[in-house]
Amino acid sequence: MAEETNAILIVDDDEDIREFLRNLLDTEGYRTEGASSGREGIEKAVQWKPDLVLLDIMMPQLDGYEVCWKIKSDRATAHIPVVMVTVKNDVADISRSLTAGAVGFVVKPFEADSLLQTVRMVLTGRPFDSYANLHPVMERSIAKERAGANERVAFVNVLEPGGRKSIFCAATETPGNQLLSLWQEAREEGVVQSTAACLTSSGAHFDALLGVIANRPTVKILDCHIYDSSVARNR
Amino acid sequence: MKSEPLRSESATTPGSASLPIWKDTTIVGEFLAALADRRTYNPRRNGYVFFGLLWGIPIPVVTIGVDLYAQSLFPTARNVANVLLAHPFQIIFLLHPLLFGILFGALGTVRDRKEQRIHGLLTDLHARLEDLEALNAQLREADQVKDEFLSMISHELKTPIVTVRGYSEMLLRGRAGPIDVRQTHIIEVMLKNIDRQIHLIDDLLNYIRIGAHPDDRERQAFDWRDVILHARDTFGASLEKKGLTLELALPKEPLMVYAHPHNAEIILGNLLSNAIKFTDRGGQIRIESADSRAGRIVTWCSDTGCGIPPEAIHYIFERFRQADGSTRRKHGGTGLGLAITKKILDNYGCSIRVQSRVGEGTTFYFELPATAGRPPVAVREPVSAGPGR
Repeated sequence: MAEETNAILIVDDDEDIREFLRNLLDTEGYRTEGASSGREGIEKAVQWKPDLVLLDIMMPQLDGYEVCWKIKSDRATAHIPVVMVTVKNDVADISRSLTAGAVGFVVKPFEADSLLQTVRMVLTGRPFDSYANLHPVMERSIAKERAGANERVAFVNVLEPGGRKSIFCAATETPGNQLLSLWQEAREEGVVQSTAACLTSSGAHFDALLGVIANRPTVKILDCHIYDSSVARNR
Repeated sequence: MKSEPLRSESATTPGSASLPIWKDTTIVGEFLAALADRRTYNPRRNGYVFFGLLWGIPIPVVTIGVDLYAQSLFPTARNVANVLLAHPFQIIFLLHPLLFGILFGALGTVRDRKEQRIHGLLTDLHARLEDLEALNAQLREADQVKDEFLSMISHELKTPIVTVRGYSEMLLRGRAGPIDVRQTHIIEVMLKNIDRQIHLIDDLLNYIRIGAHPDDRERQAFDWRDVILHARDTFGASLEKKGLTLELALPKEPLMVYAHPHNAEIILGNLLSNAIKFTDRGGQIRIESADSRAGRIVTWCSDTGCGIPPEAIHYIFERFRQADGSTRRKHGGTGLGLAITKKILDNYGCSIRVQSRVGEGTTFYFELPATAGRPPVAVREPVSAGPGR
């Protein structure tokens, strides 16, 4: 139960949302602390050294990107993973968050499970447990991960309105065009529930994935997180 | 003729013996002989005209000098006049730098004038370019302000819902203590409506975003059939849920459209979701598309649904309008779908029309801009290759 007592810092200027998030995470057994502004968030991150920071983007004065950047650039807090929790839901916002150093992105209003899953995966560093049975392509990346290859994998969770089912799409280190075919592969193999979308978060592949999503207005992004096998191993 | 006095007596003067090698042999010899003894000099045979042509100013000056020398050691003005008149070309040679000066000066002036005009034009152009850039910057700024404004509105509208939705879900999942069946039902209805509200906000913001003119640089050539096939996949679950069949009638050749793939998907998605919404269980939806060969890709989307009453057909493309208030309660939706669809098509200069009969069904006809004159290259990878192709 060691991981259940992880400390989570919630930075959000809306008191009710802060309260709700604390409520939700408390019942899951996490220790939580709230901060009502970016400045306070940075202070608390330094003092309290939480295991995870949930960060709102649109806040007065210091916005989430800056807070994230400050946390990541301070040696004392650089190791703390940051997950953005925001109403922003554009591909550009995800891109910008990840550039600022965030490892996760949850779109508000979120489903409790979506948030909890992201939190759990970022804290344990073991996303493959959750995605393993989703899609054969995942098997490949799991095999790779077990082989010890250092890779950064991006999981993007999206919602397609047609069937109100979530689709993940899987691909590791695949160029953009193959990515599309994998997306399709996932559908054709009759994986009705969800397949995972993941690929190296660095550079072109990830941009290609985001590009695909951006070109599909009917697809809504639910959450996204980055898995880095080197960080996970050092834990 | 005035040239008469210039003529020397004869070539057989005693002095000519001093330069026997050159004598009477060449023009140069003549010239040298003249230098030796002016009496042997025959200016008629002076070939300096050609040398003058070749060497420019020094030769005529020297040869004129020689001519003058041949007449007397101290030439008078009359001698000079005689020499010049005897060889009018000399004048031209003497004056040619001046003539050139005048000619090139004139040309230079013309060129200068032209350059000045070009310079003026360039300055003008530059000023206008600067104006345009300033305007562009302003527009970009306005665009950014609009984006920020939309982002802010979206934030303000959604933030209150976050907690309401969160707590409702928490209650429903029993995370805040056990609830009974009746409470479960109540909370489910709440959640459903909250989701509808979120959907409405998204649609509304999309509508405002699309209202701005889309960036033409983002237009692409792509196969419209792929969009249709993809939509069939996307809506597969909803079709199945309502027991509807979707029939596609697509040509074998690609239907290359030049538009924003994004918008094409919105158009089809809206029409298809409407068709699904208003068609009862067991009904049929049919999408047919073809190249009109007139720069347009035409598509018919028909269903066997409840149809649109004639009095409502005039305002279905208006915002927030469904045939009547009760349909919204029954079928859900924001009433923005068709307004958005029409707006997108308007931006492309394409039309959409509707034909409907109550109880029998509805057919939407719309056009999309074809890839006119462009090589049929698929920019997007085919996203779906279902068995229907």
